[in-house]
Amino acid sequence: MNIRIEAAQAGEIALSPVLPSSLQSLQIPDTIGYAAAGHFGHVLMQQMEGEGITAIYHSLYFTQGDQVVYRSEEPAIRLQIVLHNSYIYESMHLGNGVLHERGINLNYVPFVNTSLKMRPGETYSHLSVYYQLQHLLSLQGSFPTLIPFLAKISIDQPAIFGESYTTADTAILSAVDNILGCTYSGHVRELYIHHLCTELLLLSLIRISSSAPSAGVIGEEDAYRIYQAKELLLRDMGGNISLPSLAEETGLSIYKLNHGFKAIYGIGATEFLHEARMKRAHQALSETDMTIAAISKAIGYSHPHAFALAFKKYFGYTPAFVQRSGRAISFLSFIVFLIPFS
Amino acid sequence: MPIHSTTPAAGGTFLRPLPPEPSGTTAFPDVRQLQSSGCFSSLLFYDDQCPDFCIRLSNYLLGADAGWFEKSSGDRLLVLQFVLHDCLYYKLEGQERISMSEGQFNFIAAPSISKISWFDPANSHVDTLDIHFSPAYLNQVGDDFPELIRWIAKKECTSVLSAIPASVTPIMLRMLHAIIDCPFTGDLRKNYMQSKTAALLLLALEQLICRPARESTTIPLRKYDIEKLYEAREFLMHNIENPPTLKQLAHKIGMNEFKLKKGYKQVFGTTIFGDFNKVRMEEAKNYLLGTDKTIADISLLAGYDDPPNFIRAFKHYFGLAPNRFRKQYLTANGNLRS
Repeated sequence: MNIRIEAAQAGEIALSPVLPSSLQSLQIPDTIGYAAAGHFGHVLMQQMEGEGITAIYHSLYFTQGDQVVYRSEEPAIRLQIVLHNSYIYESMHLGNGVLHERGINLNYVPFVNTSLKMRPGETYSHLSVYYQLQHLLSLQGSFPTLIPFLAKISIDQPAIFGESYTTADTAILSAVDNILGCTYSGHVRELYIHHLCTELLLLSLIRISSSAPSAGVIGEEDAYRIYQAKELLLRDMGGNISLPSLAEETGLSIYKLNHGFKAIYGIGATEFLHEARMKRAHQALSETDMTIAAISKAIGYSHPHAFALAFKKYFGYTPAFVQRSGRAISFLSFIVFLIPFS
Repeated sequence: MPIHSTTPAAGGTFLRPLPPEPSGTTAFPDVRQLQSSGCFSSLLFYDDQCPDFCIRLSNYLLGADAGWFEKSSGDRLLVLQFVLHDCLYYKLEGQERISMSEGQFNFIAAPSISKISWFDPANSHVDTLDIHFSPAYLNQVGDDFPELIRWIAKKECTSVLSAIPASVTPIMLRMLHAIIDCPFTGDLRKNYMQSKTAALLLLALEQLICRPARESTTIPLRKYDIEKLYEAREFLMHNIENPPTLKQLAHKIGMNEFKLKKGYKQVFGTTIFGDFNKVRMEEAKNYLLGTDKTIADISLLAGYDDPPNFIRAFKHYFGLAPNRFRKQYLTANGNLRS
């Protein structure tokens, strides 16, 4: 993808294939990275190839508020999934709009010219997957609503698939996690990314075409208050932060708080917290040496047994199962690590 | 890619399509359902046919090994088999049977029309998910997994890709659940199954080929745990006459029973009872050959309250009953002893 980025304040941002050391911690192994970092903040694009499908993971950070313009001459059929923060965009083809966290959008543009509003000191990230026409053509039998979308593409008209605002469900999010967390390299990686991106397209098409009208629009400022509430919830997973105190801290009413979570994430605040707890526990189980008792305490369960039950209900397997397989992998990486020195 | 199940002899199993449910709704949309029942109890298959592979979810409720054979359209059966419930085993030419338990999987190659899974009558309910692949499909990943192609090319009898079955990882388990619970129908289902199966195949091959084989039953042990286990053994050896129960032993050294049992076997290569029994039997042997004590006395000395129990255990350990063991020894070494 040949993408040029220009910012209203920071000017033209020259992307380089050499990653600055400050961004190396954000790097996903085995991807092609393009980055720029400086006093303005940073821009990082990491590209993954999957046999005709390209996935790009974007991360953006601007110290000063700015307006960033993405340009590319190439036509693009792209699926966009926002992973962090709200993207307020002005697209030459698709008009103005906003995609909040977990928002998904499948669109076609004859060439890319999109301007994004960046708030100062905030991090943004999203995944864009670029498909070929043939990937969609093979699916039009199953999705009649794809036909008008494809018709617009054939006459080179910009198009958005689906009318209502759609959020990603757990299946889509776990497909994204699998893509970003793929541990393969070489050709197997390409095959794997290809299959995962195909699955992602299918799941997104199903989600978009079956999605009920969203829980309502949410204003920019309210969205930021919800993100604040989210940060508070995630920071204080172990303590029992109550909805009223959360509402007080963010300046939203309890109704607006719950409504806002529903509008952005498709689930209420309590459910969101539960989901986050389960994911955090899963990560701790597979990546750390913490005991199950310690993990259950850290995420706010007073009894490990209750935690194990909730975990099994959420993932379909027990915490001990993750621990066993996770340690096997860390044991392996230990061996790999030793080889260069022997 | 159709896979058929046939029976070698009359009076064996007959698979017939499951009659549609009255309400017209089944748990598995768009899937061919086959069932059979008889003296061996019952079988239920859900077949998902795709051009290059066939996914079969099998539920076996068996009282005895029923003996049906699987037949593919090609000349070989290439099956990626996951055990979802209980365990089953294979019989490979000239080898002992290999068992595969819940949560494990392996790749199996067998001549078409062969019996690939065997069942232990003790396992009354076994569930598996089998994915039969066509050789052409597997050749697509041949460049990345040359071991797989080399293994397929060996046209012998039934064989497995990895000598030890691999264990399912969380991400694979999620994929298996997604395949089994797939709510879609028609082309959508086919597309979904294709991408899921392809990704699952890559993960499975990586586990089977690239990961070092691990004993599935090992538990992580710290240095401290190992010291505790030695302590347990020491304690056991000093208390042969008055053996502690497993619970008492666990209590004594401060370790839970599960860890004690598993860890003991891992560290010493034998079970606690095995170790204890060995000491006890050797001691009994010494009494038997070195003294004139009666069998009843020896059985008491060896810690058995009931002589018949002792005789049975002795026979099991040495292959001979105590009195015959003594007699044989005496006739062989009669001169020495007098």
